Amino acid sequence: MKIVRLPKLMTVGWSKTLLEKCENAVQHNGPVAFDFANVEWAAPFGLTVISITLERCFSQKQDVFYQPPKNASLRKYLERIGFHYYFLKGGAIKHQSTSVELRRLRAVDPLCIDAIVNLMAETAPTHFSDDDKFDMKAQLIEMMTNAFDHSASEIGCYVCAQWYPQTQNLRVSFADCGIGILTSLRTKKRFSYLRTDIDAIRESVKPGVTTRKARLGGFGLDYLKTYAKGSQGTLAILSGQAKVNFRWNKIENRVEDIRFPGTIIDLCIPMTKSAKPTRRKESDLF
Amino acid sequence: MTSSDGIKTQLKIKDLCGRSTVTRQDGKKVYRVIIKHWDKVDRIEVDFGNLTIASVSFLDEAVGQLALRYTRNEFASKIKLCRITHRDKRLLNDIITSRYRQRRKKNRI
Repeated sequence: MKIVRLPKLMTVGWSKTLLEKCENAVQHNGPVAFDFANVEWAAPFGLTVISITLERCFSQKQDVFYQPPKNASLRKYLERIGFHYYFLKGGAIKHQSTSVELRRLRAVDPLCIDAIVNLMAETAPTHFSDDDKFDMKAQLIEMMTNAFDHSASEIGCYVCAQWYPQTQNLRVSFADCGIGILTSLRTKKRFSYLRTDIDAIRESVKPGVTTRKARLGGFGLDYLKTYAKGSQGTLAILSGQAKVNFRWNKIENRVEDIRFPGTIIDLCIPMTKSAKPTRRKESDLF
Repeated sequence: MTSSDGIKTQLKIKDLCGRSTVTRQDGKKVYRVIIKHWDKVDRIEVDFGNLTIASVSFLDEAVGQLALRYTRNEFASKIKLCRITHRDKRLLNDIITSRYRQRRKKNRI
């Protein structure tokens, strides 16, 4: 039995450690125990990564075991957020007003999107205008359509959202177990020059970058990146052996030691101020 | 669904797509009708029926990528948007602007 001791923080900042441990679990030729004993904090990023990893283990017919966290709040959170529902027997799911529980999606789910948007509206009403609601809905739809259009993920994707009232941050994470961005782009001749996962991720957020015929498409990630920047938030994209953080004031590239077989998109949006009302621009056609 | 009198074609998003106004596949249904009628009429009215779309993919595929095919003047004179929410209009304008920027870049290469 291989025991995988998960890190203290299951967040995008600890992605290297988390992905390493997950990959070791999948590569092990035998039963695996995921040990949550020392985990103190699990963000949507961590939950979606673990979910994908568990699915990969199941698909390989590995026996999977679970050691619960010592931290009682985290135990309750895992039950509330739906982790128990998907992967363990028993436990009642309660929808709390600060989260949208972990969900497995096989297609774009407007109800899930509405749940996340309503979560934001309920938890930050004074700073969350109707314009903010609309913009967030558009971003989330785009994240989902991107995942299903490009990932070729046989198991669909996992999505999870969490509102942190004290820091006024919303975190949303999507993870798929598909072919990754580099492989997806390199299916087209005009992207055959791409060599690294970092280059592929940076290319994928440019407008007009798509694998579709006649280059119709390629708008989603660019829009997400622009939205995150405008909100002074962060868009993190992990695919293959790369992680790129698109912050509002800089871009950080990182080569990971472990290859993730798919793509994870992690959005962190501070909800400390409302969107400014947009004025009509001269370039507007309508 | 779609009505045409030789001068003007009116197409209704609700009739063409129902409540499926999210994916690029959904948007393609609208695009195909627009292209089919483009050279046959003076004007094409796209009636959004006050639906909230909020989907970049749908709006881009349905209307936005017309910008890759037609000039701004051709686009603006042919297409009329009816009963579109102001937020969807704002989103669509952003998409169209980006598509024209992409087209200008491509023409420069």
